This record gives sequence, C-alpha cells and structure tokens, in this order.
Amino acid sequence: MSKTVKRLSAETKQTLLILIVFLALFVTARILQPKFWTIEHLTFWLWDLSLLGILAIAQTIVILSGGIDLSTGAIYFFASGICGALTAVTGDFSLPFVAALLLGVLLGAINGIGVAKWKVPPIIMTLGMLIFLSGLAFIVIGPAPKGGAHPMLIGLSKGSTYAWIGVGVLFILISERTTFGWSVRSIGSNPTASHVSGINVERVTIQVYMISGLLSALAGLFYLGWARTPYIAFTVSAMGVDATIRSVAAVLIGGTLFIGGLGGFERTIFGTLITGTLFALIRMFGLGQEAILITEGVVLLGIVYVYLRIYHR
Amino acid sequence: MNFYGLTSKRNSASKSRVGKRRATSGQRPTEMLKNWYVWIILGLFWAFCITFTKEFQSIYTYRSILLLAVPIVFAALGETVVIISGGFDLSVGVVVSAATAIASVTMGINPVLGMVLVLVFGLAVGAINGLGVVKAKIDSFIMTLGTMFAVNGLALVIRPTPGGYIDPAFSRLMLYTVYDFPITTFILFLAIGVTGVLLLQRKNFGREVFAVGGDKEKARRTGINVDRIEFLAYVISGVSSAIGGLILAGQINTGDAEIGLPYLFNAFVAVVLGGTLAGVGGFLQVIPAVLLMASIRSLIRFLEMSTWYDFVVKGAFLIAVVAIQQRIAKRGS
Repeated sequence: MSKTVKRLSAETKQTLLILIVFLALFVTARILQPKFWTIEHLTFWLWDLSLLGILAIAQTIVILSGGIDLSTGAIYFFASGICGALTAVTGDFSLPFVAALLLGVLLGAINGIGVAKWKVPPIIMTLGMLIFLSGLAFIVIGPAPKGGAHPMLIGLSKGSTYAWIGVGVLFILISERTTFGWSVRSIGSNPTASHVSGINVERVTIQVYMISGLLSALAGLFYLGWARTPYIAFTVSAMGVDATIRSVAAVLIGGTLFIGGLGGFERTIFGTLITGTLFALIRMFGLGQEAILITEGVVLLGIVYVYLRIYHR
Repeated sequence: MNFYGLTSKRNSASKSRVGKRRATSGQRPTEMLKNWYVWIILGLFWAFCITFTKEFQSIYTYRSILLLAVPIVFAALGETVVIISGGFDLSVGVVVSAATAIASVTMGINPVLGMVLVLVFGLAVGAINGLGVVKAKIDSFIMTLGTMFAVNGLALVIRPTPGGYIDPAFSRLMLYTVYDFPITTFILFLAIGVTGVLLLQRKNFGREVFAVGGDKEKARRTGINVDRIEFLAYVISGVSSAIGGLILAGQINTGDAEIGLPYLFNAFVAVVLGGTLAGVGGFLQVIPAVLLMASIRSLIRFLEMSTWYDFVVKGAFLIAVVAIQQRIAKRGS
C-alpha cells in the first residue's frame, strides 16, 4: 500500500514539475515580449505547433506500448508528397486525401507486423522504414516535387489546431476509458504478463503502429496544406529525421519515459507546449535553428534527469 | 530496461548460444558459418558484380569502395563497442559532421591543432554520453538523442554552410595513392580493423564489454567495474567517430555540418548485419558488412541509378536481415 502511495506521489510530483516548467517559460515569454500573450499570436503559435503536437501524440502511443517509431517523420513527408502528386493528377480533393491516410495506415501496419510477427526490435524496424522511405519518396515523387495542395486542403489545414486538440482529447479518453488503451499500457509494462492474462499482444502492437502511421499521415496532409507544395527537404540526407527526433523529444520532455506504461497523452501535450515556448523564446532573442537544437538537447537531458531522480527516490 | 529490444526478446536465446559456443570452442561448422557468413555474402556479392558489370573488374572500383568505407568503419567501431556493451549511440552521425566542421575552421590556424581539437571534441562528447548513462542513469537512447541535438546545433554554429579550409597536405595524405592504390586509406582501414578485433576479441577489456552487455548484474558480481566499461565504450565511440569525420574532411576537402547522418545509418546497418547485439558479436563480422555497404553504394552509382536507391536497398536490407536472424535464433534456442 505504501508503495502505491509513493508511486502516486512521484507521478504527482512529475505532473507538478511539468506545469511549473511550462508556466515559468510561458511567463518569461510574456515578460520578454508582451505581444506573446495576445490572442492572435497565441492562435498562430498553437497552429504552428499543431503538426508537431499530432506527431508527438502518434509517438506517445508507440512509446506507451513499449516500442518506438522512428519512421513518423518519414511517413509524414511521404504522405504529403503522395497527396500532392495525386492532387496534380486527379485534381480531386477527397481521393488523394484518403489515399494518403490509407498509405500511412499501411506503412504503420508493416512496421507493426515487423515488430510483432517478425520479432524485429522496434528501433531497427522503424529505422529501416525511415531509411527505406527516404529513398522511395525521392524515387516516386522525383527531385522536383510536382503538384500541390487542393484549395480545400489549404482551408482545412488552417484548422489543424482543432485537429490537434481533438486527437489529443480522443486519445486521452481512449487511454483512460477503453480496454484498448489499457492493453497498450499493459503490453508496454510487461508483454509476457499481458499475453498470459489474455491480451492479444501481436494484434495490439500492430494496431498501435497503424495508429501511429495514420496520425503521421494526417499531420503530413496538414503540412501539405500549410506549405502548398509538397516540398521535401532533400538537402538533408534523410527525410523527416528532424520531425521524428523533435516528436520523440516532445514526448520525453512531457515525461512519458521508456519505463513501460508510465506517462500519458496529456503529458505529451504539455511536452509539446514546453518545446513550443522554448522555440518562441529563442526566436525572441533573435537566434536561429542551431540555438534551438542546442537548447532542446540540454533541456531534454536536464528534465529527464530530474524525472529519473523523482522516480528513483 | 532496453526498450528498443536489442536485448530483450532475444536475450535468453542468445545467452544460451554463447554458452554453447564456449562448450564446443567454436569448432562446429554452423559456428564457423556464423562467424564468417558476412564475408561469404560479401564474396558472393562481389562475384555477382564482377560477372555482371565491367566496372567491378577494374581496380578503381575497389579503390572507391575503400575510400567510401573508411569513415564508415571508424563510425561502426564505436557503434559496435557501445551496442555490445548493452547501449546505443545515436550521436555517431553528428560527431562525424561536427568533426568535419571543426577541422574546416581550425585547420586554417594550425593543421595539427585542428586535428587535436577534433579528437578532444570526440572524446568530450563520448565522455558526456558516458557520464549521462553511467552516473545520471539516463537511458542510452535518450542520452545520445540529447547530445545528438546539442552537437548538431553546435556543428551548425561552427559551420552554417558547407565550406572552410582543410589543410591541402592533410587532404593529399588522405587521398595518397601508389600505382592508383589508395595506400593511406588502406593502412587506416587495416589499422582500425586490427585494433577493433584485438580490442574486442583479444583484450581483457573486450571480454569485460561482452560480459557487461550480456548481464550487467552478473558482470558486477564477478568484480568487473561495470561503470568504467560502459563509460569507456562511449568514449571509444566518440573518439572513433571523430577520427572518421576527420578522414572524411580530408577526402571531401571541406566541412559540412549536415553530412553525418548517412554515416550513422550505414554504420548501424553494418553493425546489425554483422550480428552485433548486446553481449554478442564481433568486429571481424562488422568489417565485411561495412565493405558491403560501400559496395552497394558503388554498384548503385555504376548502374547510374539515383543514390536514393541506396537508401531503399539498405532500409529493406536492414529489416530483412534482422527478421531472418530472429527466425534463426528462434529455431536455434
């Protein structure tokens, strides 16, 4: 009994820490730049952050199930590229949209089958998928991406903040209220025990990666609507690595650590908000991408260190 | 607590295989096959290429393969040691980038100073990773993800756009050829190969690395200083990747803060193909895997296909190889 109390209090401490860090950064931003708190700016800020937010939620469900998905960023760009190319061919809105989402589900399912059936470790499976898709995207879509976003998609992407909130609330509910959500945490903390207690571990694992693929593709579609053309950063040697490691960092900063089953979607949302506030703060100082990378790395390690201290005490 | 499963599911199977190998001292044909299969794959691949392409009949091809392979083999040594010790190092690629960036800035002042600074930088990144994993008990994936961010940012501060000055003498030395044979590259390749094999298979240090990767608690009880071994594994990884980056800077004659990621991928695929896992593997199997990675790249270049096919092939290859390894491991246990 006393053990559960201790564990509860550690989780409460962790939640408090996230809130304090977030509020401290948020207030600092307000002090440095009074315009930060205007409705217009906050709306824009959330909109800017929503794609990372959706990717981070996709990452959270995989990490809760005891795996990791390094291919989220690749699926994100691949789906946006395919949707753009299909829009150019068909001129239609719904067909490319649905096709890109299905593609995300399919790629996620392949990841899931690799992990669950072929027993390939998640890190190797999804890294293989990342490398594979980086090449495939370039070959399929070509060096100068053709096509663009359908006007309806551009309109739709303006509401990506709502999609982020919707997806977030949906997954908080799924994880708290449904058998599936409970199974995901269970296989994350102990796959053998889950199997013995009657959970179909293979099926849940595959479903988890399918959800991750679907959400990554959804974020990719919003990205296409935002960028208007399926521009893929081919100068960077592997596609979507930035997006992937950012999403992993947001999950970790939120406190969903690789300690099976611990953490949750609400934490990831706060993790994303903390990352977003950091970006905003650094831009206020007039610093660029390199400063963001350094700060993100330092903050990630610092906050994970504190979390571990809380749990090990 | 290795969430990424490089140890978890296979651990029991692989441990029993290690036991068997000790009992029969590696004389059975299947064990021989396990130790040499990557060499056989490489041989078959080369035989195939020699038969079907005329480029592979020329010595120039092997020269370019060797040039491509040298930075990868240095990065792969670090990754091998870290993975055998039971960890994971994501920072290998960005250390390669940062090494080229630092070399391109400091070599203009003094070439020797530049080289020393690059090595010190690699040592520092490795030491920080090691301290984080050993002292702060942060999971190796998270720790090296953090340093990956920070080093990537640092490299961009040092070298925002590709360019800079690499000492021409150093560059000439790296590309020095005798009768069109890149002798410096060959010596470096041989040196790192011998060092890696001796380090892991012949020294006490190597045995301790395997013991720590196999079972940390047992290793601790037999009196191995587990913390020291883990720390040293990351330091070796940092320094070795930095040397790889330095050689790369000499080859391409420039500094580039975003060049390193393919080296992480190639090194990782090679290490996994070599059958390396926590407590299992060896550098002798990783060397041919690195040569195979470079050969695939060369073949794709000769077939005049886009280099992006390289990624497609290697991604699919990585998944297929591990899936087959897992099937064999399941049958063997």
